[in-house]
Amino acid sequence: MRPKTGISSGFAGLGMFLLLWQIGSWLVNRPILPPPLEVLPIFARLMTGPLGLHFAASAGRVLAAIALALVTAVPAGLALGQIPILNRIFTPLIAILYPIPKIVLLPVLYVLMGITDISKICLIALIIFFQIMVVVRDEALNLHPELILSVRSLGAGRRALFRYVYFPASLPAVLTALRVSIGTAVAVLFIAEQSLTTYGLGYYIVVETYQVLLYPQMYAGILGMSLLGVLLYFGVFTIEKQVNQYKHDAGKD
Amino acid sequence: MMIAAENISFNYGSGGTVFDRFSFGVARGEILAVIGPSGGGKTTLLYLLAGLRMPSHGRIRINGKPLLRPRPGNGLVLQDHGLLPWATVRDNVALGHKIRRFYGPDGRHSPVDFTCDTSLLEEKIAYWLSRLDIDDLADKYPAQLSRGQRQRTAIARTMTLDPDVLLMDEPFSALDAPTSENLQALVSSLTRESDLTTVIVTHQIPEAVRMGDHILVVRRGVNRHAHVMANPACGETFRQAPGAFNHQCERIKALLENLP
Repeated sequence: MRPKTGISSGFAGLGMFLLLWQIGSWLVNRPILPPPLEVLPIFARLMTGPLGLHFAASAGRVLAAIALALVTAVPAGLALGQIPILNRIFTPLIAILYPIPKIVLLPVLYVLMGITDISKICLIALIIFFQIMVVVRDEALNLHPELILSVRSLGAGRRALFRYVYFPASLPAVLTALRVSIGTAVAVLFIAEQSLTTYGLGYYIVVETYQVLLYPQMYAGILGMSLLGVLLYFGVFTIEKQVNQYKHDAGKD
Repeated sequence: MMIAAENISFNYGSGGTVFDRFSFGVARGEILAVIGPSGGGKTTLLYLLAGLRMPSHGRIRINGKPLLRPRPGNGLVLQDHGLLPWATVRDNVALGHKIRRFYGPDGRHSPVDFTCDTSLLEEKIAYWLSRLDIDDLADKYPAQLSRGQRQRTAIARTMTLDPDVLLMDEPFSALDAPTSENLQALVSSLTRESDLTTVIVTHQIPEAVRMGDHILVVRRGVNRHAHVMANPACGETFRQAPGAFNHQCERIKALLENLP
């Protein structure tokens, strides 16, 4: 049985996290690890000020990247899953491109697309794109041909098949892929924001705080980045649970 | 003739010809049972009638009109896997209407006289859920149903669209005997009461004899001549008239073994 993930367990996790942090801070006993009670008030104060803006900039980039990845990867995956010849042609290419760490393309994107938010967003979108395209392709491939035929016999053409079969069939897997790739996406965001921008949590953590030795403020930035990851993760997780409700309902009798 | 196949030819890309200038017809209101060994092109024939495959030669007319694509008046029920696993019985039964509403009355995906009246639809769905005896299962998911209940759902889904042709591909072959006999009787009476013309593909001789007004026997390999038998034993079961029933079964068995 999976442990329940509710509000209470969330608070328990948070409590343990803060406790470990406090113990670590005592043990290390150096400015590089300030205790939570010093950082949390700073975090609360800064979030309503400058840190909030950095947070918004980072969140905006990730959300734009997720949107961009979804609108490109879902149709691409469906096309691969429905048209066998396309799938045969592109499978070897995808197998090569999939494991390449996309972060190494950052300089290339800067040169090609300019030092703008667009290049950062595209880099993150690229990471999510492959994850989602592959699962959508596999879901489309795994749909039973009899299901497609019988829905076609009800009058469905390509658009209705997408709306009533392919989309609901691949949605759970898309959300899982999204949830799993959010960690990587935020990590890449951190790296991409360290330079050539003036807003973003990555910039705040590295340039505005770490390099000028403002450790408690740096931890406020780290907390902001963690919060971003946690919010995205549980946001997707919540939608996922809603979507998968039928599996849960179908399981009990 | 409600359904007329005129000199149709069909072959799979790999060179296997299944039908070569093959002709047969089904009169309005009749049930045609198609029987033959697996690999005999039974399912292919049904997909041709459904407009999901196109003959390479000849044509199929339904109600006088050439069939060029899936036709709104055709209902198709397959052996299994036809229901959306993530939708309840009620939502599955409503699926055809949702698709019609999605396209509107365009004559291709839905009939030109289609109107999306929600209260009428609710009423229709309620009627077919109870006619198929699945109204207490309306909020269950396909995985929670028995195979027979799933087939009832698939039939209800088709019937809510008011078809005039019902095409079934081995719909009862995975069911236990009492369940499949019940459903056979149900489809026979639906055909009569809803003025349907039904084609049912099966590999089980007793099913063909119980259901078919006529029985079309297909063979493995190329089908050129349609062997259509009249079936006076239609509607009878072994219990009611063992003599006539057995005799007809024996005839079909002999024909299946000795098709020229």
